[in-house]
Amino acid sequence: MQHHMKKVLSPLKKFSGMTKKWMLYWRISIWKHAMICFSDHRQPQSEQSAAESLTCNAREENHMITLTVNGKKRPVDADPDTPLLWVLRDNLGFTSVKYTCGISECGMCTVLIDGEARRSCIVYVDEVLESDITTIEGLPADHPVKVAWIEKQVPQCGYCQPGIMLQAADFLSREPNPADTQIDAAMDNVICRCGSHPRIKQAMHLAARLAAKQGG
Amino acid sequence: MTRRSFLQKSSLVLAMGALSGSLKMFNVSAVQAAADPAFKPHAFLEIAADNAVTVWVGQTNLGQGTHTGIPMVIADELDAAWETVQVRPAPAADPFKDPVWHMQVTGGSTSIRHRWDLLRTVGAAARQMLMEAAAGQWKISVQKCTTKDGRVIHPEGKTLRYGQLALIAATLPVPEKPPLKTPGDYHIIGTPRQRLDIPDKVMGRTVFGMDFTVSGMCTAVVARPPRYGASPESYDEQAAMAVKGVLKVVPLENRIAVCAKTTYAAMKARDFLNIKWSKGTMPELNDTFINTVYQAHLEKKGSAAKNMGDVTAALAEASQTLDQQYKLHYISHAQVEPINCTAHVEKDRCRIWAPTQGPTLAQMTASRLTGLPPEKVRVEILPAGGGFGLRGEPDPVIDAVLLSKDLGRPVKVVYTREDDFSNDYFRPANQSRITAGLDRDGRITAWFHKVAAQSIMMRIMPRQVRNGIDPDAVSGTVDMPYEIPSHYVTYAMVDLPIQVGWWRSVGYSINAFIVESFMDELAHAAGKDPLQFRLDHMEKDSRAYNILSMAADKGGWHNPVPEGRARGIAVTACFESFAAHMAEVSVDKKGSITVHKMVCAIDCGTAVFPDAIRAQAEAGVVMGLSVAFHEKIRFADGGVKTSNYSDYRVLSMSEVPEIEVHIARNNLKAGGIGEPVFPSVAPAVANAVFRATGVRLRELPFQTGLLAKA
Repeated sequence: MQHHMKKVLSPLKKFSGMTKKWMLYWRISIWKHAMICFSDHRQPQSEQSAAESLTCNAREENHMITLTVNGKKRPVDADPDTPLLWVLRDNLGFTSVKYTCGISECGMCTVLIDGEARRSCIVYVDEVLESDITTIEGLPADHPVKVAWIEKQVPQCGYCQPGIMLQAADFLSREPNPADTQIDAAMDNVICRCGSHPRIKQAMHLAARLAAKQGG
Repeated sequence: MTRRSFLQKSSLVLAMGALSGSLKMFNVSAVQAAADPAFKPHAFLEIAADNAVTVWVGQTNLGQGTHTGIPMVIADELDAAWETVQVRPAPAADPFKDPVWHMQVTGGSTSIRHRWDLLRTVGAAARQMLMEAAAGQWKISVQKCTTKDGRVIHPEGKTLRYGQLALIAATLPVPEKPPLKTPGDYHIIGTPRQRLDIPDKVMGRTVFGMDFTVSGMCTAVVARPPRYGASPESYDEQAAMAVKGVLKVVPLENRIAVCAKTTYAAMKARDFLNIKWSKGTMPELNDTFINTVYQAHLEKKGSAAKNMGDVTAALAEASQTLDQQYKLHYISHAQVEPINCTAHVEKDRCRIWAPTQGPTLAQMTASRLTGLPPEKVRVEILPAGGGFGLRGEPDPVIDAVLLSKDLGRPVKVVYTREDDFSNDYFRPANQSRITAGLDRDGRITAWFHKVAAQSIMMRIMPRQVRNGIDPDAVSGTVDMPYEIPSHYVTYAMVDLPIQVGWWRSVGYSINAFIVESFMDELAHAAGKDPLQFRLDHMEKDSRAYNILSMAADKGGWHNPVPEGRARGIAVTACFESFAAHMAEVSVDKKGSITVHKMVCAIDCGTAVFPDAIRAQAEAGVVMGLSVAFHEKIRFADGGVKTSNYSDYRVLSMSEVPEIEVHIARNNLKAGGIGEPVFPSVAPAVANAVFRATGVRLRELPFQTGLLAKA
């Protein structure tokens, strides 16, 4: 945050006191707005929570940290023992990361942490301050998993899919040409109540083929 | 990066943001609606001057495909170009009510079949009006015009696009009985299409109820009784309020709500409440107790749900009689998105945002609680992460409305997974007993069927319980697809405080397992092939007869079975559709069942959206096997013991067999899909297991210990 403040303050040196304060306020507002536009076309929940924390009780201390999500640094007020799942969902507005069981049984809260699929409901934020966190939005629209998932019409209700797709993407990056039995083993610990399993499998085979083509 | 290039980039991003709506392709997600629809002949349909065709769908998006299937029907009759069609979710409103049930509800596999005439008429009427508009422009008779792909075509070949005609068409009267297409002219209905809602679901953009936010909102979790009839005797409000982010603790009748700025703060603080609960009304309730209650009810006379012929006499005269009992346990919907609802109660209006299957009920509930007339209650129906019948219950609406009233701001009530399991409205448990008689030729002459089960209707619609009969408890027993001269069905209503509700295919879900297992037992007793035995008791060439034959044929019923495997078959008729399954299984020495293949045949009349039907059939198999093998809610100490997926196992990837789906093609009225695909799965497998091992599994979930060879 201090680094950013320096960048914003430096052009203001030549102005007088009152004007400087007003311009500072104005520049910070624009900066904040631009940060939002840089993010993935979403209105972060932090906008609302940030506004509310301005009016919170004096007993509530802020605990500002920075998380790197989908390649961008995002400042957020979160206690170190908060599961990453909830900071992503409630504080940063990444509702694609789902809550279903809260005990790492289902895989719907899966994100990639430095490329590895992890269940964010059992990861605390202070464990990932130096990590690159990737949600489904962080995979490009033409990622083989996304393309295959649409081609094979995998989702039914779709709630479980972002977490499953990230787990699949991680698996396929390590196992580029898997057999059915390997897919079974790799995906046996995810839950899909709607029964999209047959299509998940077909899509993973297709994604593997697409990735092989892309990779050359 | 310099400040200049940074600002340049951010303004480009801002510009892109503003334009992104028009850069999106139609059919990718919601929301490129025309600002002022030029032509809106019905609440379901709008055509804009730029040719955009918007179909409003008032059903709940559970992933079942209605949000593409309904537009397909309308677009086909309309002769719209499919690429111009987009779908928008409608709120709770009169035009979207079910024409048969007169309320807006997604359930009973009715979305299309209750609107089969209506949807086609809406599209056809609009087409008629557009043709008349064009005919008027061209000064020719409308009979000379045709339509194709969003254009009206002049006999000499020139065309006018629907968008160009929209304003004129809007001035014309809406015909009540426009000519409908003959099925041979369908070019969208019955064809391969991609679902309109899938891209958003793949990209993670879909905002489910659980994800919804509105300015000023806080989130609440509610501590509910851990055993039936218990109420809070004391709790530590201070401890909860001390948690960072907590706003208020609100006691409601028999439960305590914690409202906070974030979901996690609310969940955390709720634990700190440290509530002491009273004993509850039935502290002795546990699995053993429940079984005793059901066994006792099977001994009762019960009320007659059907009484045809003379079962007593027929049984006395039978060459053979067979008598068996079946047992099914309570199961959970286990839908992955927890129950939730957001409500904002204001002085002169109330807004609800919920993934509800019962928008009219939600509207009425909020109206009752706020005192506002229903017209002032707006219910936005959000996409649901599964429903299976649970999301029609108004519980989260009640809590969200009460809390919003109390706090004077929007409140989102969410259930934790533990809340979901303990407060589910389970599929009722069932113990049944059938006594049947066969004559010398192996034909069934008598069928005496006793059902012991809780009643869903006594809670939801008591007027539907007439003469002691809950229609849902006996569906599948009084309306089997078989001809039986003496048929007597009785129902003994079990009275327990366990919450029960509608679960995918309701009574058929339970009774098809029992009926189709017992039919198999009778076939065996009669020395007949299970397929032929069933066909012999059906009306030849009836839809049930034909779909059973199709499943057998496609499954290769008469072909030699691979070494070590065995086959089973089952059929159901429900929700105006007919479905049959053939299972191919093997059982190892330890009694482990492997389902190698499931062949599903479904006759749902006109198959509007074949790929969605296939997906639903696959879903039916997965869910059917899950219920057959794993699912059971456990009770202890007066309440639900099952708490999370860790003690409620559902089917996993490696247990999913090869699934083949065959859809009967005909032009009959569209029947249901979501539920008919489920009931015949478990009995097909149980019947196959008998063929493989000689052991009958008469309980769900399967007691596979019975299969282990000593």
